[in-house]
Amino acid sequence: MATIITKEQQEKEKMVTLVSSDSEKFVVEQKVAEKSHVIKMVMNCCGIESPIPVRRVKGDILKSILEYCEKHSKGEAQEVMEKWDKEYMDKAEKDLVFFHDLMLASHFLHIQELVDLIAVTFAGMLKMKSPEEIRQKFNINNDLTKEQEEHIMTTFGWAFQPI
Amino acid sequence: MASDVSLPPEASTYSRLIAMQFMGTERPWLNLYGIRVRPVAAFGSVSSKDLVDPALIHRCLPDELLFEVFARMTPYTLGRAACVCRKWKYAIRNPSLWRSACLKTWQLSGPITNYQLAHSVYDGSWKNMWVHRPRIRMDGLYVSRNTYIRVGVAEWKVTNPVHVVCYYRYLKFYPNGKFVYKISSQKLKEVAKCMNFRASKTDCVHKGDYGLDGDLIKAAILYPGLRRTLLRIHLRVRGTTVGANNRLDLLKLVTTGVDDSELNDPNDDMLGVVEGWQEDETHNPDVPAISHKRGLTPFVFVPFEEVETSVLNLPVDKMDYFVTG
Repeated sequence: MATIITKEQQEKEKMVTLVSSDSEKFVVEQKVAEKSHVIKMVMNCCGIESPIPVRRVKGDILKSILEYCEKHSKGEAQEVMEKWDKEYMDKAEKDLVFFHDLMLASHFLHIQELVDLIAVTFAGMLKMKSPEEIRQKFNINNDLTKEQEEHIMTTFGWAFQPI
Repeated sequence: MASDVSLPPEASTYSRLIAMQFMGTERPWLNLYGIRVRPVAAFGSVSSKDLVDPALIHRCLPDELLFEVFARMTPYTLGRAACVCRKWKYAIRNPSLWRSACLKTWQLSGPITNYQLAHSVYDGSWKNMWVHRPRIRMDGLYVSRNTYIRVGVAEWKVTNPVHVVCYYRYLKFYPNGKFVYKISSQKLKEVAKCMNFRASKTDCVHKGDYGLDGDLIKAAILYPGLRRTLLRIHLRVRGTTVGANNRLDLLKLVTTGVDDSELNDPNDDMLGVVEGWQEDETHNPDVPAISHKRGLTPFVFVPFEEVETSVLNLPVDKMDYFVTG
């Protein structure tokens, strides 16, 4: 009996503490943290005993990222994952600042799956939008000169689905 | 130590070395690590105002992440995004974006031919190739709307009524050399759902093989049934603007007979069967080769997004004829 408990404890002990830039602490399983290539490297060389500082990533972003990592370390069926991913992205998409930070952080932590997911979602946001709509959505200045614009319209006219 | 080993005087003590800044070198540029430097206006620029980009996306995302996003766009979204601002315009000139689009679209030609063509014909520019080389669009349906006038039966009336009859030919191509074809009087928005390989027999969607050579498409379909009939279609790709590729001219539509011995497997490549056949060649004397002359209106491309809203859905009393241009 006693040995089983210690084994379970050992399993449980494989937890690692991550500290965000605003010194919020997150205790997660090692396999969850391993989803990030960068954290995995840190754990490999420094061990998991001491808390790992994740500078440059704020608490709310790190929380969201760990939520993603946790879900994706469970190895559930693909349809379940896709549905969950979609809901996760729908939530993230609403706040552009958060969305950008999420992309930066996942890139910084080297979680390629998440970078892919976000980039695909991002590309989806731009799909079938006119340049003016894109500029408004992302608050981009139109710094093209008249000549440049005319030139673009002649070379990219095919992209505007002419009837 | 023996004092006869002559050392330069400044190397005599460790503290001297530190003082010389020989050990533990200062590397001030390391302090810049992780700090994004804002672009400054070009020297002599007239605008003296602060250059803060109002776009969050430009302030937050480094170029490599913006590229990740661009790499996941369809070429059509990419083309529109190029018109947004200068930064995006330059980012989208990246040839690897267009190379992947080209290799995907012309995957039937094989990568080696595509690379050779890009270098010999299109000055090594994949974007040029994308725009100027004729290609079949896969992101929608090609529709040919045909109308004809049929004289109706006069019922206690002096004048003979006439009916405008409208029917459509639908084509949808896949990158792997297969396509589906349907001829029907149903509207575009009803047909769009069943134009795929999973369509049931009752949908009358026929599957065939095609090949693209320059701007010419050769396609062949086997109609199932007791007397097997092959439908051979020749089309030419063109566009209403440069690079649009949104029209297919129907050059030839031939039904012809085929011998059962030539068909071993229903999944056979039909194009291979008719390879080298003459225009009026038939391999089954019961089914003569007929070149059809009716219903050859050019195909108009409708992207999936516009299937519901396209004018081609209009009934004949709203639009009796669609000038394809």
